[in-house]
Parts: sequence; structure tokens; C-alpha cells
Amino acid sequence: MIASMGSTGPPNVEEPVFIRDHLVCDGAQVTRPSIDPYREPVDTQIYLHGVGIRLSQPLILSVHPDYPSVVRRALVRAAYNLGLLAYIRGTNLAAGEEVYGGRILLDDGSRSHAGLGVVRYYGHNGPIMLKTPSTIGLEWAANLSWKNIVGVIVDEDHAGSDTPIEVATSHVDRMLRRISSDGQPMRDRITLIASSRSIRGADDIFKLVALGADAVALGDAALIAADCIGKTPSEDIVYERIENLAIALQKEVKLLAGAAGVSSIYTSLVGNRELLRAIGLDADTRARLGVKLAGVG
Amino acid sequence: MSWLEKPRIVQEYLPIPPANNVEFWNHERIEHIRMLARFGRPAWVWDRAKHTSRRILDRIRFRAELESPTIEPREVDDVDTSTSLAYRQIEMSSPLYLGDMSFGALSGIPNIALAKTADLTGILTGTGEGGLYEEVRRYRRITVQWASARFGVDLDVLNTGMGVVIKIGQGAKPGIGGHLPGVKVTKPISETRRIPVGLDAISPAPHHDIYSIEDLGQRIMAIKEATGKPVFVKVGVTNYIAYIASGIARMGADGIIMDGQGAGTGAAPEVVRDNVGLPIEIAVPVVDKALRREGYRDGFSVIAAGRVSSAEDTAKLLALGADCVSIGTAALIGMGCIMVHKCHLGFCPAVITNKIEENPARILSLDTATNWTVNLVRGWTAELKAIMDVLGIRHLDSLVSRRNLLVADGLPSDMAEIIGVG
Amino acid sequence: MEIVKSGCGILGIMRKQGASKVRVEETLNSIECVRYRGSRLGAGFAVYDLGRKGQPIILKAFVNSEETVEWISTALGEYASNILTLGFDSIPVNSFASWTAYVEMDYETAREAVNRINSHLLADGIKGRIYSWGRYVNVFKGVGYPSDVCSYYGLADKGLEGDLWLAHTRQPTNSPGVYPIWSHPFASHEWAIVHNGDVSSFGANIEFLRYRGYESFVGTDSEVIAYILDYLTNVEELPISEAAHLLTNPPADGLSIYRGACLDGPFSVIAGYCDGQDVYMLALADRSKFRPLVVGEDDERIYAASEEAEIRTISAKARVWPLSPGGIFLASLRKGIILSGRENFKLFYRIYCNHQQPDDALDVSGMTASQVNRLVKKLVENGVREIRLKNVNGHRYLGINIPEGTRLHIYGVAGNCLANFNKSGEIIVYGNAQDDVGDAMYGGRVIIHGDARDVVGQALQGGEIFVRGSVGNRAAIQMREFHGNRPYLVIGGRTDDYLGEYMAGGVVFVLGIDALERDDIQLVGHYTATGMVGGRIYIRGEVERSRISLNPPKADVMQYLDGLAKEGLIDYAAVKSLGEMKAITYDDVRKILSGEPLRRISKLYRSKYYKELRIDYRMLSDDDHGIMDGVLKRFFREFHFEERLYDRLLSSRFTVIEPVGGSLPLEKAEE
Repeated sequence: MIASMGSTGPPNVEEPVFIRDHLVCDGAQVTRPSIDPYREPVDTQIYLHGVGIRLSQPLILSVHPDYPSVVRRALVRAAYNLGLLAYIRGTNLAAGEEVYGGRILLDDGSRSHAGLGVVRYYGHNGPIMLKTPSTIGLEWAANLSWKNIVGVIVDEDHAGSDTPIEVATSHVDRMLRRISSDGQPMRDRITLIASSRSIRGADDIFKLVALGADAVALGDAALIAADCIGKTPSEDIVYERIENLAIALQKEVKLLAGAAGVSSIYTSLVGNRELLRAIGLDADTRARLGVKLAGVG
Repeated sequence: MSWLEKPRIVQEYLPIPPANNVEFWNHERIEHIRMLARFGRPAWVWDRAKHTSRRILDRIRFRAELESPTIEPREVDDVDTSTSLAYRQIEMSSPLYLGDMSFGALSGIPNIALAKTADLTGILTGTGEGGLYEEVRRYRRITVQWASARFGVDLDVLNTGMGVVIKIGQGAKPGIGGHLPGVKVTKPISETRRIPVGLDAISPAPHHDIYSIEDLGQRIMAIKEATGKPVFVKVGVTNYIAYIASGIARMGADGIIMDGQGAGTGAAPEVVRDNVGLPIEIAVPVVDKALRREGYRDGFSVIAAGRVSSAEDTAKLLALGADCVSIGTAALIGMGCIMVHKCHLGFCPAVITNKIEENPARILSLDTATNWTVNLVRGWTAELKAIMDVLGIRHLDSLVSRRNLLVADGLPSDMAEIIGVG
Repeated sequence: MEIVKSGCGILGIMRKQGASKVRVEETLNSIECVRYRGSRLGAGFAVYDLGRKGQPIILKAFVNSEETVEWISTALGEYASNILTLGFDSIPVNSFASWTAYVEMDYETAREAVNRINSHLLADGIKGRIYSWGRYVNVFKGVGYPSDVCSYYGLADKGLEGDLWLAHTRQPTNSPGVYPIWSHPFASHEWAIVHNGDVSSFGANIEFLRYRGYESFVGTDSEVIAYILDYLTNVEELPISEAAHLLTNPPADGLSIYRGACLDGPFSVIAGYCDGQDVYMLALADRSKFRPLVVGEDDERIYAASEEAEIRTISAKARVWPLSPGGIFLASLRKGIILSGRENFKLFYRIYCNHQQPDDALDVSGMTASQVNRLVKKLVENGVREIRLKNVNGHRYLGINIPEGTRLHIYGVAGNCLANFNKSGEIIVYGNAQDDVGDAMYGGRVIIHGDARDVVGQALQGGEIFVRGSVGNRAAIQMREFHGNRPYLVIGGRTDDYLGEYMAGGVVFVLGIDALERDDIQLVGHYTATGMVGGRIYIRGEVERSRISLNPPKADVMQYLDGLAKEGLIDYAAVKSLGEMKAITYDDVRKILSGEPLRRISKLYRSKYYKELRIDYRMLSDDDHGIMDGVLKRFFREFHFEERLYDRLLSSRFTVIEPVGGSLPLEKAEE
């Protein structure tokens, strides 16, 4: 986690791969203080609508069908123990997983609503989440009945994704704010989640939250941390690695939030595009993200 | 120390290891700096490594270079690189500031070498956050640093040297305080900084008496009341750098040291180092313009830091609007750094950022390190003179804020507009 | 939208029922005393008059030209039944003039009109802005120092007075071509606020407001605060205290539709409001108390201010106390103080000092801090050993570098940065001190016959600081010691949060002398000794364990325990018993868990930067006496406490905090 000497990251040294590699975060200096997460509190909790679940940080652990079962088990268990969610796709629950059902998002492909995939919180029958591909073509939202819908997941791995996750997330966030119900923006009743297998770490999470997501589903980083391709580490070791990864991610998110002078992510970071700046992105993309050019105050 | 334990004195460069990853400080740049450090003479005029990197600064060129791309390096006599800082209170022979690296981040000999070099060459060096090492104290051309943890700083220390730097932040980790890993908090450090041995020395993120612009003004005034010396404020480059710089100037500081993203550090959380902050080449013109617009530019010093790698970088940053540049990593490379990126572990193979022990097995030769650094300064300055000669500029002050000498080369137009180059 | 940042000085003065109205001169004198917090780049006032019931709305706008005035008048005509134009009421400065009209409209119509007009005025450059609209509130603001703005509008000539005045002096960090639209107060529908700080939640707050009928923003976070208060109380009709609560503290269960209304980052806010029945003054401080904010009262007035000095300018006898971190102060004309902003303020914040100012003391009223310091320096050079200053009121940087054997006596309110870098001599304050006393002090003595505010003894490295009363946040932060140079900080009252943060040496005492009878009162705030690596803290009485160090959220711990139980590693009884605690500290966990489950759950508590603390609640031992006796005897002598009190105190039980393997060598303190 600690490094020395100058950065070798994108966009100034390494070639940027994703839009978020072009985004930089603010550091609080002089006009407001930064916050020391080692000694002072930085709240990372996120509250999910409709189900009374609290996440300890804006992180969801994705489980894909191609993951080895030892990794899957570790992710489900770690999600439970650390107060996150395990987002299981493509299959139903495996044996032994119901005990962790309180923290599982299930996408077994069995249901749909208004032409979109449905993801449900295991154990909750009423409320559902809609899954949309990563796109800005959101005609379905116009005449939707939002009854029972407590969340939207923007999933870059879903068929029909034609826009980078950063742009789609920002777009859906704003769209949900514009739609209102009883005089209150819909966004205040809906949890927004961004998901992509390309999510690598805390910096990606931080930036997507700033662009409008309440929580971000981690990509294959967990698989890499587990390090069991071609080897067979024990159940406990795989679990330990994944648990440590999640704890480390929380520490890093706190560092970024504290550096920006934010002490409460849920209230102050979500959708706070003002904390980001863009380097090397065209004006159109910046407008879609709602992020200013670097150098503009 | 018994003769059995006498340390081996290091006087040569290590071979440069082959690059595994993308690295800004690549072979070419390291070789060039070593060339300057060995011989003290210009090796290039135009920076030959800039095509290997993707910085915004590398996509800004001097018009004169496009007209005369190949010039052989030569010593130029009738160009004057002298300037002055802090409302003309500090004279400099060259616009180079050897950047704030603490006693603790560096292992002692390098700190002395930097101070000695500053005296010998008539420039300035910052002593960083660790307090004042005894040996460094006797050199004149140093600044002392007032940072959030106030390690090893008292009124006597503040009164030493030519100025005080209030360090709010640094480019590698804006919003985070200085960090000396526990492995490097050895007994000598523990004594200087007055903290327990072996425990990480993590300075608080903010100064806990500076939470606003008027608080900063208060601290600047307090230091001036106590010492009467020029006060600089060092910040990392962040989103609101123009406002921060204006505020710093208005609040009575004598200069600002802006450290851009990509700057070096002894230890920083990687996620912050790679994601927080903007490059210095954006900050300099934006700040220069803002200060001029508000009538605060004249005499107030703008010092630019963060991946400054050559005389051409220097000339560009001055043309963009800086008065002076600060070099950190480049200076360490001149002393032998091979960019292992493991300073925080304390086992530097080049004996520059290793942990400070009472009986070290190896130490850097002070004479050699000083010679290298002095030569680096001389060679760098000579290259700067050659560039100025091609530009037709005879005095350094005429180079400052001459954005019309520059042109964008492969830079998006909106970025070029922010920076102010055609 | 261009973002505009600033720092500032703020003030609010409200009269009590039956007292005379507050005059503009009082307000002006008070805010001018903290002129150094601001600049000539912006200042403003707001006045409330309950007597204007039934009158039309006063609508005020900045305009850049006659055309703009025309346009506004026409636009208003579509909404208002009756408009009486009063014309321009200030000298144009920086190309904007202030224009006033009386309009007959109901509030809902007015809101719509203002929103539409303001959106238009900013659509294409800055043509102007409606900056105040309400029956009871009248805002005067512009570019200049407070005294300048006052004279532009002729406020003193008009003999203006009211039930409540707000005032502000601004320190912007950018642009001199600064326009009055960025000056405070910001007003919306009878709310007017003045603000000091720079909220980090700004982007999130804008998103909250943008889709709720507020489309036009000038680019300051201060304006956003005014809008949020307006929205919550006037549109959502929440009670003021509830709205205030939403701003200062995130909602407990998180699922509030108002989460975008929460503020994050530093802020001190003083706001005025009138609902037609009563006039209110609201003062808010952020959760980390990053900006100073004190409130006070005397027989005639209720005050809120950035610095005590502002209040003392008008009232020598007012009781003054600081808002607690995240504190809310609410007072009204009819009801007086409704929320005091701090629990038990009457117990701890009193006037302790009865010393009369000596006639022969040097009168420093009207002098700047620099002038005072030069004067003191001169006297010191001339060998004067006892230096007495009177009418000190917020003067800063006093007592830097007092020589050995010299004493500096300060009568009044010592301003920020007292005794910074000091290493010898004695400094005595007969009154309260403000923020940042003894920063990087490494010798000498500071004795305060009153309270100090935040950050007392930051990086204190030698000498002693005695405070008769209480202190604020971050006392003894980074205190250190070395080689026989041990600093002491003794606090007679209580402290707020972060006492001893990152402390590495020295000894701190918190005595709570005025609460000796009460064992239900906590003498410290939260996060005590967070990051402590050395030294020792003695706090009289039993400190709730949850107030010590930085603990992970209880919900996270409970979740992990539940997981461990599911894995069969611990039993549910253990989970239940820990669940009953208010907060679960590492000590609590360690009593019940061991082995593998303990190792795993430790990850939530520990990091390589964390040093474990040893916390005892006990009687004092001989070793403690060895450390304490000398210092405490000196403390008691200074403030003339009785012998009996001393014995009583030392026979109390203390909570003693130090890092495990504590670094305090048990040397006997000097007598």
C-alpha cells in the first residue's frame, strides 16, 4: 500500500486504459483541512434503500460463474463478515450459502421487468433492483412504474453495453434525480450501483462514487488476490486474502476521502463531481460526466 | 567505531537496472543526469528524452526548437541566469531550488551534500520536515520547514537559514502528511524528532491550526513576528490551486512552492500518489495568470516542482510562469539513485534513502556526493543558458511568463487554452 | 459555474425581549474588531425587524445597468400585484449597484419569481442578482471592509436598528474584480446567513438542490447553506432544530431523503430567520469543530461570533462559551435561548477572573497585534521584568519569545497563537484565551485565568500550561518530550474531542474542578488519545471507554461477530453480550474472544500505525504522586484553591491513559 518516489500511473506516465484513468481527485489544502483517517473518523458506510441493509463501505463483491468454487465461497463469507454484499450471477445459491443469505444479491437470470434484468436481495420478496447495460439510451425509464424498485445496477458486462461505465453511471444518477415522485427526486429512493469486471481498486471505487454510484461492484481484482490459478491454496488462505483485500480497500477509500476533506462518504461523496478533474478527455465526455477540465477552479 | 566496523564508502554509481515497468525516469534520463553530475558541463540543449514520455509538458514545445531542432551543446557566457526570490530578499545564481527532502527521508550524507551544494553554487535548498541535522545547520543557503508535526523545530531552528517553508502539502500526496516508516525511525531520528523508535512517524494530514485561508495568514504572520524571515508556503497541486495560490499571496507569504502530481516521495500510500493532484505544468500558468490579474505577482515567487527532469523542463516552466524550479528526484539521481522505488523500506542500494544507523555498513561519500550535485547544478544551468541563447534571451527574468515562446504539440485545444499556449 | 472560495469573520447580535433594539454601531464596532479575519473585498450586514409584520416584501438586487433594472421590473410585474421602486441605495462599486423595491407577493410566488429572474441574470455573464427578499429581513452587502459597506448604505446616518443583526467580513482567496454578489450574508425567504468555512460536500449539496427548484447558483457554498435551510424549513416545513440537525450531523439511520442536505468539511454558520411570530438566531458548528464559534449572553443581548473578542468589544460581562463540535445554538427574541449549543455550559463556562485591570498597565486598545508585540519587545530589550497590558481584545501572537525571568500580564482576551514558539518566562492571562495557545512551545509557563479554545499545546515540548477553565478540541495534540524536558498541561475544567491526539510525551491532567460533585458528567469528548504513542493523560472520574481512541463502527463489529458465530468459532451468547454495549472497544472484545476469532476481528481495530493503549480507572499511586504533586501544587497556588480541595482531588479516582509499554520514565517532578 505504501510506495516511494514518483507516480508511474496514468494518465501522465502509464497509458490510460479507462476513462477513470483520466480523472484525478482533489486534495484538501489551505481552504479546508484534509482528514487523517489514521486518527480521525472517516465514515464509509452506505445505506441501501428498501431493505434496511447497511454496507460498511461502498463495495460489493462480485461472484461470476467462472470463478473457482473456493473463491466463490470466500467471497460470500467475506461479504457477510465485513458487512458488504456478495453479488452472485448466473446461478442460484449453492449449498451452504443460505446461511449468508442476508447479504446476497442474486441475479439468476430468471426474471425481467420492462425488458431489463432483475436482481433481487436474497430473502426479500418484494423489492427488486433493475439491471441495465452500461448505456445512455434509457428509454425504458420514461414510463416505468417504479413501485417495488429499490435500486438500479449499471453493469458494463451486460449485453447491450455501448458506453463506458463512468459515463453511464453519471448519466443514470442524473436521470434518476430528474425524475421525481411526490416532489422528491427518484434518486433519493433508489440505490445506484456500478458494476464492471474491470474495477481494479479503491481509486476506481472512489471515482465511480463521486460520479454518482452509492456502491461499486469489484471486478476480477478479488480473483487475482485469491491467486489460485494453477495452484490450490487452502480454503482459509483464500478467504484470508480476500478478506484482507476488502479491508485494505476500505483503508484506501478512507485515505482518498480524507485527502479530499470528506468525512462522510454517504452524504458528501456520492455524486460529488466537483472533487474530480479530467486530463485528456474531450469536452463532450467531460460534459456527460459532469467533470471539469483540470486547471479550472 | 572500531576499525572492524568502519563503513565502506560509496563513491560510484550503480549500474542502471533494466526497466520492467513503464517509468518516467528511464535509462535515458538517468544517463543524462549522471553525465551532468560527472562533468558539470552541458550534455544536451533540447531534452532528448521527452519523446519517451506522455506528460502534458512534453507536448508543449518551444517554437525555437521547432525551428532549430538540433543544436550542439556549448558553454554560453553572455547569458545571465541569476534571479531573486521572495520580494528580492534572496539572490540566486540560477533558478534551481534543491527540493525539501528531510533528514530521515534521506540518510544524512545526502542532506549535507545538498546544503553544501547550495552554498557552493549560490542557490537554495530546503531541509524538509525532519528538523535540522547538526551538520546541515552550518550551511547558509537553506530553508527550514514548518510542517504539520513540527518535528524538531523550535525558534532557534526557525531562525536558522534564509527562510521558512510552511509545508501544507506535497505533490505526491496532497492532503496527507509526511510519512517516515517505522523501520527508518532509528535512534538518531528519534532524538531529532522526539518520537519513539521504530514507530511510523506519520505527520497529521492538515496543520491542526490551519483550517482556512485566514488561519494560514495567521501562521505566516506568527512566523514573521518571531523570525522576520521570508516565508514560503508549499502545497501540492490540487483542483483549486489558483485560489489557494492567490490566498497565499494575499495572506503575506513571500512565495509559493507548488509540487505537481508525479513528484517524488519517501513514502506515500500508492492510491493517493497515483490519483490525487494535477501536474505542475497546468498549475504554473493558471496561477501566474491569476496572480497577475489580482496584482500579486510582482516580487512574489512561484517555484515549480514535480518531475522536473531537465533544463528544458526548467525553461518551459519558467516560460509558463514560474520564477524558479525545485528538483528532488533529479538531484537524488545525480547522487546515484536508480529508481528502485523502495525508499520506504530503508534499504536503499545507493545509500541515499537508507535508514540511518549508528554503525552503518556503507555510507555515501560526502565529497563525491557534493561534487556530483555541484556538477549537476552547473551542467543544468549551462544547458539552461544554451536554451536561453537559442531563444535570444539574455536575462533570466525575461524568460519568466513568456508563454508566447511556446506552442502546443499534440495537446487538446481546451487544455492548450487553459495553459495559454498557441 | 465558477467556484468562489473565502474565509471570514462572522457575528450575530440579538436583543432580548424587553431590551433596547440593537443599533448598527454596536454591530459595526464588533465586526471591525476582527477586521484581520476579513479584507476590503467583501462585507455585509443583515437586520431583522419583527415590527414589519404586514408590510410588503423588501426585494433587493445587484444590477449592472439600467437595462437590467428594466428587465427585473418587468419580470416582477408578472408576479407581483404592486411594486414600489425605491431605486438605488448604494454607491456603485465594482460596476454593480444595489437596487431596492417593495413588492406585494406571497412567498410562494416570490420564490418562483426570484428563481426565474436569477437564472436569467446569470445565464449570459453576470448581469446582476436578487440577493435579499423578505418582509422582516434586510440585507446590506458589498465590496469593502464592514465600515465601508456601512457607509455606502448610510446605515449609521439612518440610525438603523433592529431585533437581530448579522455581520460578516470576507477573506476571499481569489479575484479583486470581486463582485458584491459573492459577499455575505446570503438570503432566501427570510433566512439570512453568514458563514466561515469551505464545505467539502458542496458538489453533493448542489446536486441535492438542483432538482428541487433551485437552479441558480453564484458559486459559493455559503449560498448553498442558505438555500438548504430555506428548503427544509419553508418548503418541507421542518422545525428549525431538525433542519439544523440535518446540516450538522448525518442522519443516524442513513436513509434520509435529505442526505444531500448534510454539510461536510469546516463551517461555522450564524443564521437569522423570522416566521412572522418570532425572530430566531441560529448558530452551527461542524462536527470536527474546524472553525471557531462562540456564543454568549448578558442581560440585554444574545451573541454569536467567530471570536470572543467580538463579543467583548460590546460586553465586558457577557458569559461566553464555545459551541460543542457539531453543536446547534438556537435563540429567539421571545423565548431567549432554546438550544445552548453545549451541554452543561453553565457548569463550566463562567467568568473565573475577578482581577481588576491595574491603572498603570499599558492600554493597548486600538493597537494592532504587531504594534503590541513591538511594544513588548522594546520593553523587554529595556530590561522591564513585569509587563502589564490591559484592554487586550483578540490581539494575536502575544508572548512569543519572552525571556527568562520576565512576566507578561495580559488583561482581557488573549487572541490566537498566544505563546507560540515560546521557551521561557511567564505569561499570565486574566481572562480567556482563544485558539492555538502554546503551539510548539518548549519552555516557560502560561497561566490562564479562564478558558482556552481549540488546539491548546499543539506540539508542546516543554514548560507548563495551566488553564483554570475548559478547553476545546485537540488539546495536547502531538505533545512531546525529550531528555528531561517534560511538558505539562493542566486543565481545571473539561475538554472536547481529540484530547492528546498523536501525543508522544508529556503529561496532561483534566480535573473538572467545578463538577466535583457530579459523577454523571464526562470531562472529555470523543476520540481521546487517538493515535497516542507516548506520554500520559490523567482524567478525574471514570471516562466512558467509547470516548477513548478511534473505534470501528459498532455495526461493523457486530456484523463480524455474527459471521464468526455462523462459522462456529464463537457462541451467540458472546455476540449478545457484546451487542448490549453502547460501543465495543478492543478491550471489550479481548475479554470475550481469544485465539483465532480474536486474531481475525483484530483487523477491524488495529493497523501497523496503531499503538495499544492501557486504560486504568484507579486511585493514584505513589508513582503518580511523584509525577503529579509538584505540578498540581503549582496549579492550585496559581488559582488560589483551598488546601482541602487539593486533598479531595488527589483522593479521587482517575482514568489514566498511556500507551502499552508506556514511555513515561517515572522521574520525580521538580518542586
